[in-house]
Amino acid sequence: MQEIAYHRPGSLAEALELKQRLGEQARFLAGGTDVMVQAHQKKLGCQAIISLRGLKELRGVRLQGDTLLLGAATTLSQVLADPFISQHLPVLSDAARVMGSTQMRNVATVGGNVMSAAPSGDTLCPLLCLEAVCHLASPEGTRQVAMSEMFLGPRQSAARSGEVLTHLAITLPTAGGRASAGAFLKLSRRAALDLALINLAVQLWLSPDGGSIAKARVAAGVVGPTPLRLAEAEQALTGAAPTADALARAAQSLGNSCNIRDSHRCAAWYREEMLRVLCQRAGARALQRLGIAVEVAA
Amino acid sequence: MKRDMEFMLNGQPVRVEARGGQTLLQLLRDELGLKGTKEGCGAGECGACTVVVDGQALASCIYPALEVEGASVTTIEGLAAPDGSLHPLQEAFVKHGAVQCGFCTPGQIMSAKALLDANPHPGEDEIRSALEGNLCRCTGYHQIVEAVKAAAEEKP
Ligand SMILES: Cc1cc2nc3c(=O)[nH]c(=O)nc-3n(C[C@H](O)[C@H](O)[C@H](O)COP(=O)(O)OP(=O)(O)OC[C@H]3O[C@@H](n4cnc5c(N)ncnc54)[C@H](O)[C@@H]3O)c2cc1C
Ligand code: FES
Ligand code: FES
Repeated sequence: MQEIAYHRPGSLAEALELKQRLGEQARFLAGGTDVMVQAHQKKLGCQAIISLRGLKELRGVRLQGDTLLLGAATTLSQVLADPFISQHLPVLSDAARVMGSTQMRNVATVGGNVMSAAPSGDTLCPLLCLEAVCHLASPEGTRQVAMSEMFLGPRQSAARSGEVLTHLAITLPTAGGRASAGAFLKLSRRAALDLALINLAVQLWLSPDGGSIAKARVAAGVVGPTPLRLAEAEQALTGAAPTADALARAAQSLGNSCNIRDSHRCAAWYREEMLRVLCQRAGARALQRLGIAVEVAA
Repeated sequence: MKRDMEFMLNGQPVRVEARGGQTLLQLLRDELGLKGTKEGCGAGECGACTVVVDGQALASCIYPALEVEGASVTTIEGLAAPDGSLHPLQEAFVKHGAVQCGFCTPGQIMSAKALLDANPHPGEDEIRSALEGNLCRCTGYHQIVEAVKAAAEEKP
């Protein structure tokens, strides 16, 4: 790493003020697992780092009524170890479990994953399915951006330069005693330390009598420039009986809204086929978590 | 930009001048002369540079040096007793043939140390998951897992 000024502000206000003063020469750093790799590759392109690690405003996981407030600086290890998250938001624990390695999960943050806005970011599809809301702070005040509005292109988020993501607000899918569960699956060449060839998350809500799927959210990554909600699959599932058949129909509907491409890591046709497989498997796992056993083909 | 900072290194307080752009790995090897921690990929992907900071295994090659201010850092040099007798994990690695070329060994042992400190009796799955970020080109991993199991069983 070249000569770089390193700031460790003691408060969010101080961090925002520093960034305002230093402008484009400064980058925020949370866990640094993206920033420091870019520095190693000499692609950092900044002269100053503003560390967000010490800021208590970005830490912790709290419940406020039916809303979970997930601090942006929460590490993936903390997500994984949180018993409340694994009970109520298993779709997010699934993603944390398959990210990087222990060494990386111990420092990488959820906020950093969102702000990096990589098409393969593993927490992004779960957060899309959970309809999380990003809370951004700037010297001018705070604003909220829905996850579905957060990604503009590869590695390009809707946050403005100088904004800090403080936390994500997630309305508990199980609020009001609703039967809801989700699951996330990632396809990669290696179990650890590998980016997704594709990844997919599903969150399902059952009708009060349990006889049908009242609401469904499906999102996939590496199927286009940004992670995407898959509206056709959601429509195919909504109102359907919670069966393997419904999952198969949802899988068949996939692909139209995607822009799947060949890449040096994977051919497009394989991504497309596997998207259908992951959709059925993740759906089956979500239903299993609701106590409904389904057998899916493939 | 340079800054004086203090932290605990292998149980001893140290005071060093760290640079803004420096990684913890560079600080340990180049400033403090602790060459036990290795650099493989330099990008977080191989685990050769693993050290333990406040109980957590992490990749020192992508960890900013200035972030350890006030923290407690343990490296491979901190494991043997002052009289030179090896740590049970080191003994177990030797005994089980878990060391071949040895380049990955400090990182493997530090990952295992963080695991056993937090969870003295891990199952095989937990061992494999704790070590998933440590690549080894020689052993085929089996001996490493056996060594960690053996060291865990030895602990009271
Ligand atoms: C070995 C290795 C394996 C990896 N494996 C995976 C994987 O399996 N899946 C995956 O999705 N990713 C993976 N990654 C990528 C990376 O670890 C994740 O994206 C991680 O979540 C980034 O978090 P961080 O806190 O380290 O981000 P940082 O590097 O600190 O920051 C990332 C970006 O976000 C900005 N930023 C961070 N926090 C905030 C905030 N609160 N407000 C405003 N801006 C902010 C930074 O300025 C920077 O541009 C891997 C990385 C490495 C090195
Ligand atoms: S040298 Fe740090 S992970 Fe490879
Ligand atoms: S012993 Fe040679 S790389 Fe592991």
